[in-house]
Parts: sequence; structure tokens; C-alpha cells
Amino acid sequence: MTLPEDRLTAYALNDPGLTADERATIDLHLTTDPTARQAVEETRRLGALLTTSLTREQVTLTADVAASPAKPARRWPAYVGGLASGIALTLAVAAGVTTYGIGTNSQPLTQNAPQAGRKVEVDLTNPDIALDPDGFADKDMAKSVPNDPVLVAEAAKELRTKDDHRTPIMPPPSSAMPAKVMTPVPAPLLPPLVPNDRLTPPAKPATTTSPRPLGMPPAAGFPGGPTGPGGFPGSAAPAPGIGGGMGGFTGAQPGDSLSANGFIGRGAPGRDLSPAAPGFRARLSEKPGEGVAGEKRGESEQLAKKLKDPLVEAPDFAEAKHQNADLLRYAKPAPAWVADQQRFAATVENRFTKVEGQQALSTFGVDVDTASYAIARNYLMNLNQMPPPNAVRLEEVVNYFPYQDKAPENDDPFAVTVEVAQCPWAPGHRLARIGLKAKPIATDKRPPSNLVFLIDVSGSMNAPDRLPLVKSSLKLLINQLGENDRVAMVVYAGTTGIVLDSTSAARKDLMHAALDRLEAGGSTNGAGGIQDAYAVATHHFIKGGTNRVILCTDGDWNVGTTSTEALVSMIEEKRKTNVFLSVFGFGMGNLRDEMMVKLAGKGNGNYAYIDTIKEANKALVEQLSGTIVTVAKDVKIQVEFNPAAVQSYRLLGYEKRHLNAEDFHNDAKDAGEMGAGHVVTALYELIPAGGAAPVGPGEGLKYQPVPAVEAKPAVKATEAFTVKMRHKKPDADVSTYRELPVSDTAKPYAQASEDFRFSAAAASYAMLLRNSEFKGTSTFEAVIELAAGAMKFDPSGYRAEFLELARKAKTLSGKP
Amino acid sequence: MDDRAWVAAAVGRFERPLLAYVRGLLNDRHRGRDVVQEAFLELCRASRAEVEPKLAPWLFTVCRRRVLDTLRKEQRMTSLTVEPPGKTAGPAETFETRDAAAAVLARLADLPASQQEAVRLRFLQSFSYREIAGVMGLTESHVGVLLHTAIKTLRQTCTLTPLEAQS
Repeated sequence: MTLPEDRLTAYALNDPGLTADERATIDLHLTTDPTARQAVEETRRLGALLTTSLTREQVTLTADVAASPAKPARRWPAYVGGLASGIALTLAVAAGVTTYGIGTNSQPLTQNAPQAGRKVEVDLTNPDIALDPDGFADKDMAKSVPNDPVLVAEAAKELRTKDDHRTPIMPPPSSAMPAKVMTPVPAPLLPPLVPNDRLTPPAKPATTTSPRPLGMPPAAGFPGGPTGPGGFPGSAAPAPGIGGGMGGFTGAQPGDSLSANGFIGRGAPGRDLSPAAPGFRARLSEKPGEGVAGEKRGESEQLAKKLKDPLVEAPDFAEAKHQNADLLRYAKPAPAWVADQQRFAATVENRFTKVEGQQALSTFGVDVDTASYAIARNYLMNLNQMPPPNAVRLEEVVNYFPYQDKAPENDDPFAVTVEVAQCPWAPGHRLARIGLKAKPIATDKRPPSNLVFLIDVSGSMNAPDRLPLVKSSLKLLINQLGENDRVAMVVYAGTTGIVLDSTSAARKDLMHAALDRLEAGGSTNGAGGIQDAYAVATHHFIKGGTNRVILCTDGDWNVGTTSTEALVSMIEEKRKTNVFLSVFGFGMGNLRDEMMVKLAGKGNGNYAYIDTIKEANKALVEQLSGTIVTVAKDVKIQVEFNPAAVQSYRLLGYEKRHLNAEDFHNDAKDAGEMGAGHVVTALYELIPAGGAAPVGPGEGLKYQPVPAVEAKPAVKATEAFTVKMRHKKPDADVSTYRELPVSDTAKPYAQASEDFRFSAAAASYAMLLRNSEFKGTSTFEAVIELAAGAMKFDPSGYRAEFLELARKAKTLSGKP
Repeated sequence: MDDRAWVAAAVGRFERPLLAYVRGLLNDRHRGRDVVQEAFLELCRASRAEVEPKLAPWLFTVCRRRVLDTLRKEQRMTSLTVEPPGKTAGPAETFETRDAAAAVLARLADLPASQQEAVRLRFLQSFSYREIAGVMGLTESHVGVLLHTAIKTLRQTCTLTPLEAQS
């Protein structure tokens, strides 16, 4: 059989235009034709190389477009305010050229340039090159950055157009980089760029000639404002800029520190010393929740962010020379920092719904996130304050704990357990617990996995509970992996780059080395990173295996596509690649909880918040299979209540996963995923038929017909409700349906299972933290009592910890 | 997201890719920037509901159309501004050419313009064949042939070491 060659190319490039039939034919053909297999393989490699090269070229081109030295030279006299930048730019370019000469001397061209027509060896594989043990990140890149005119121009552009670093900026090729490394570790690249982005860096790189300029903790006394050379607080005059620039220029240091100084000198006075700064700082410290010990850093970050804000920098902005600047300003959304820095989306709790007509159906997607519990814990234990109500999502609190629900036998991806008993916080009400237990997979029986770590290395990650914790957490994960697993690492800050191409986990040393080299600095272009990470994951896609992007971030994305909607739609797009997503939140102070929830939700993923190494151990070691192996996707639950037995119901939590009744049967509607061994618990509070009805918004309406005396339905009242479920296999598009009728056996609370009692305690605790109107007679004391009686199954001490949290919350809230 | 934020997000995401794309078609950086800016202005005027589902191809199509307009106009006019001569291969380029990436780009530059354009749209913008066909005004199968020919040529001129050499 012969295959049209161009179809084979389309196949290799995974074009969606290929029909399933064509794909199957080619799949079959490939098993017998090694030449075709090789062609596919080569095409894919070439494709990756082209993407890398073209992306790099794009940067060169656009940097060139934007940073033409002719323009500022012509214009700067006309801009009094822009004088500093004009001069700085000229100096910068000059410095770039000068240092470039030095750079070439120190890095002689030793290898032959390929001649036209000659075959070129392209090494896409050897991770040793990518991970040159001495670390190009430390040495070579630090050198090559300022040495490269393109980057200098790029940096100069950054200085001029301030707000223009929205898209990924790829650094230029470096001698130390093989083709596979799209971009070197960006952290050391950033010193020349950061003055625009953060308040922190000016004080640092300007005073250091270390090749690791950003690896340091924030300089002491740093919130006091930048103190780089030439930086005089309160002064916006160009003079300091010149001073700084000249200082750098005439210094005897070799290239790298030269241009860094040149930039810093300008960057500091021009921007960071805005006279408005003290005012903002003063206002900031009055913000609730920010005066707490240990939050100094967050405060300064906010300040830095505010300085970045268009309102603050309006005078500066007017001189931005980029042609699209006006357009941008016109389109700028309202400053986001006006809102709560933590950005927890408001949750409107589910209410009681009367069981009548279509309303007898309650539909939602499952959810295995646990972040909210850990976030609340961080507030209680570390910040000594009650968490904001919107940070508490009931289902994430309940689902944080392991339960003993029985695992499915045979091939089912999950088993269902339903239990109904008395509701502890509302006398006369019933509580139904629906437990879904996904099939556990032993760590050594996991299918091969293709993981891409997407790591935020922006400046805001430079805190002990962020990047260092990310590194140690990922090392825990790496240590669990075997030789069939592959790991790639993509980092992002102002730029994005692959620091480790997909490598077999047999080479743990390489992975550890790559992690150790990461340093935080710069702004954050999360969107660019996501694009790259998915590209890598798709490229190394393992059929039948686990393909997952693992995002580690504080979520403070301030460059690129930052609007939640745009990111979410991007992730939704990526979901079609069948690559799953895990989101790990780190740090406090600027955590974009809302965005992470949405990303994980829309990206077929899970979301955990990691505040301690213990938490990392839970998510990445104990529950590794659950975190990375998806056993069922788009799991939806629909409960149909029998009006003969249940008068009203209320679903506790899952507000973010609400589905319309008709979505249940629509396979195109996305819902939640379950990982191996995960337990999903849903609780319903039920008012039995004949019980006192809660007053709903529709009650007592004047023009509505008086409800007819309830005609008893012919359905037998022994069944209280039916749980209907739909799920898809991880790679399937069609769902499987099953249902389970449940009757209420009038079980008293004391006879309920331990899992039931503990989940009820957790729900009660969450309602108290939210100060929910549905908390009924709940008190922290009652929570402690309920939980203390359900402690027999507590493998890792999470339930014991829960008791402590409840006690702490009781003290902090001053309520019983 | 309101319309302004939407346009802003589009500018943020596509400005550079569009600049690079236009640059590949039109060797005039200033006019290239005009083209991109005009495309975004057109986006402001366009019906969002219509454009949003196919934003990326839409922007590239608009840019391409404008580039063609510019080129057509140019044939009737003599440009007074002279583009500075192309950079000669300075040390930077020489330095770079030993890099595989630069080499593959050099090979790419030898291909016919239409193949280059298809390659850029496919590998830089991750467009599907259908989207490329939409932008370039060709049939999907024509795009398939262009890409296949380009890749075949490139494969023959660049040796790629096997991906799994070590295993």
C-alpha cells in the first residue's frame, strides 16, 4: 500500500484536518513501514526545531523593529521627560556595542560555521548539553546577555516602552545552547530588564557583579526604596540616569556588569522613585491583612505593582513611543490591584431547592481540588487570622481528607457509596453523603508519564515559601518517578524557556541539577509559559500514558495575557490536546486563587495549594498517582430527588462546578476529573417531606397560583433519591452512564460511618469559616467533638491537624 | 472581559507574532508596523462575536491582505525612503550560524516564498492546515503539499540526530 506522502506529513504534524480514518490507516501503515516511521519522527523533530528557531528569529526581528536607534536619537530632544531614556538608550546601545567586542574576544569562534548546502548536525537529544553541569545559566548566559546587541536593544526597548513587555521575549541564541534549548534559563537574563518591573531588583544587580545577580534574597531595608547607583529618591531628573549610565560605561568591569549598570542607572530614577511611591506605601500598609509579620515582602511587591500601574505611570506612559501604545492605553482594563490582592472569587452558596418539576434534579461536576483547605490553614496557623470567607470552598475542605470508601472491583474507574443519616447541625434535617472512590493505582503500576513542569521564576517567587519550596517539592516528585517517565521543565518569568527537554526520569541527577539552577527574578508572563509547556507536552505525547503539565506558581501573572478570561480560553483550547493540567499554588500575598481555580477547572486538572513541604509530600508522594494519573474525566453527578421522600435539598459546596440539568447528558460539557485513588465527597442537606419548608425567594408571591395540595406521586417513597453519574475514560469523547437508587433508612447520626461523621464535621467547619447562613447550630466546639469521634482512620495525621485548626479558629473567631 | 480588555489582550498576544509574520512578507519595518497597527484598528471596529472564535487566523489574514495592498501600491510608486541596507553578516551572525537553529533558518530562506509562509504559520503560530489555507487563500490540500515539500527539502538538507539516540 502506498501512502500519499503529504498526508504522512500532516499526520506527523498532528493536523486536526486529518480524519480518524486516515489517522487509523496511517497508524496501521506505520507498524509495517520503518521508512515512514522514520519520516514521521524526523518531521516531528524538524517541526520542533523550526518552532524553536522561528520563535527565536521572531524576537530578533521584532526587537530590531522596535529598537531602531535612529528614532530615539531623532526624537529625544523633543521629549523633555524622555531625555533620560533617550540618553540611556544611546548609552545602552553604545555599551552594548562596546561590550560586544569584549564578549567576542572572550568567546572566540572555535567551531566552523556550516557552509551552505552542508549537512548540519542537530542534536535534539543529549540532555547533557542542555544541562552543561557548570551551568550556562550561571556563567555563559550571564556573559552572553549583555554581550548580545539584540538583547541590549531589547532591553533598551523595554526601557523606552515600559508597558510593552507583554509577549514572550526570547533571548538570542547563545553559544552554549544546543538547538533543543529554546531559551536559556531566563533568570540571569533579567537584570537589565527588571528595573521596569519590580522595585526589588534595582538595588540588587546594580550593586553586584556576581554572575548570579538575582539569586539573592531581597536586600536588607529594601522596602525603603531603590538605592542603585545614581538613584536619588524623589528625583525624576535625567541626571542620575546619566550618572548611572556613565558609571557603568566607564567602569573597568567587563561587559556584563557594564551594561547592567548603564540600565540600572536610568531605570531607578526614571521610574521607581516616582514621587508617588511613599504615598502608596503608606496607603498599602493600612490594607487589612498586610500588616502582619512576614508580609513585608508582599507589601513591597504590591508597591512595585502599583508603580507599574498605568495610573501611576501615566506621565511616563505618555512618552511611550511604541506605535500601539495609544491603542493599548485606550484598551487598558481597570487596575486590578484595586480589588483584594488575594483575589478570591466570591462564592454564592447553594440554597435550599424545593423538589418539584425540573428542580428535582441537582447537577454538578466532581472536583478534587484541595487548595482551599490549605489556604485557610495558612491563614489560621501562620497569619493568625480568620481566612476571608471567599477563600473557603466547602467541597475542597471536605475533599482534603482521605476516606475509607471502598475501591471499585473489576474495571470500573470508580465506585460509589451513599449514606444518609441525621444532619448534625439542623435537627430534623437529613444529611446524605455521596462518596466516589476512584480506582487506586499502585505507584509502581502507573502508566508511563510525560510530565512537563512549568515553573514560575518571576521576582515574586523569590521567597522561602515559593521557589525554594517548589524546588524541594518537585524533587520529591522526581524521586517517585521511574525510567518510563519523562520530565521536561519550562520556566517563565518575563521570558519563557525550556530548561530541560523531555528526559527520562532515569536521569534524576539532570533534573535535580536543572532545578537547582533556577533563580527567581523579573516579571511574569504566565501565558507564554503555558503555550510552551503544552507544546513540549504535545511533542512528547505518550499514547495511553499520562500526559500532564504541572504548573507551579504564585499566580501573580503581570505580563502577557493576564485577564482570567483570556487565559481560561487559552487553556480550554489546550485541553483538546488531551494533556492534563495540575496547578500548584505557592506563597501568599498575591496568590491569584481565582485564576488558578479556573485554570485547573478548564484545563482538565486539579489544584492544590502547597504551603509546606508536608503538603508537597501529600500531593506529590502519598497521592502521586491521584495527582498525575487521571482515571476518569468529565465526571458529572446528577441527583434526582423523590418528592415523596424529600421536600427540599441543598448541595453543600461545588458552587464552582455547578451544571445545568441538561448539561448532564451533553458530552461536550466539561466537568471534573478524578485521579487514581481520589475520593470525591458530596454532601446534601435534605429536608424530609413534611418538614418545615425554608422560606425561599419565591415564597409568598402575590400573583403566583397557590400551590395545589401536594398530590402524592405514585412513586414509592422508599427511594429518597437516585444518584446518576456520567464519566468518560481519560482519552474518550463519549460518556458512560450509571445510576444508583438510594433510600433513607432513618439512621441516627451516632450510627453513621466514621467517614460520614468526619465529612460532616469538615463541612460544618467550612460553613463556620464562611459564616454561612446555613450553618445552623454548628459551633467550632461541636466540630471538634464530631471530628474527635471519627479519628480512627487517620493515616497521615490530617484529621489530627484538622482538630488543631478548629481549635485555632475557635480562639481567633472568639466564638464557641 | 469587556471589549477594550479583549483588544488589549489581542495586542499583547499577537503583536509580535504579527510583526514577525509581516516582516517575512514585507521588507520594510516601518510599513510593517503600520500594517500591524491597522490590523488592530480593524479589530477594534470588527464585530467581536464574529471575530473572536477565529481571532488568530483573522488577524493574520487581515495583515496579509494589507501587505498585499501595500506591495501592489508600491509597484506604482517609487519609495522615497530607502531602507538601510541589510545587515551584513556581522560577528553576531557568524557566531550564530554554527547553531542548528540558524542553519535551519538559512535553509528555510532558500525555499519559495509560499512554502516559507506556510511553514511560519504552521510552526510559529501553530495554525492548522485549514487555518493556514484560510489565511493564504489556498485549499487545504494545497497547503498540505506546500508544507510537505518544504519539510521534505529541509529534512534532506539538515541531518537530525535521532531523538532516542541514548535509549
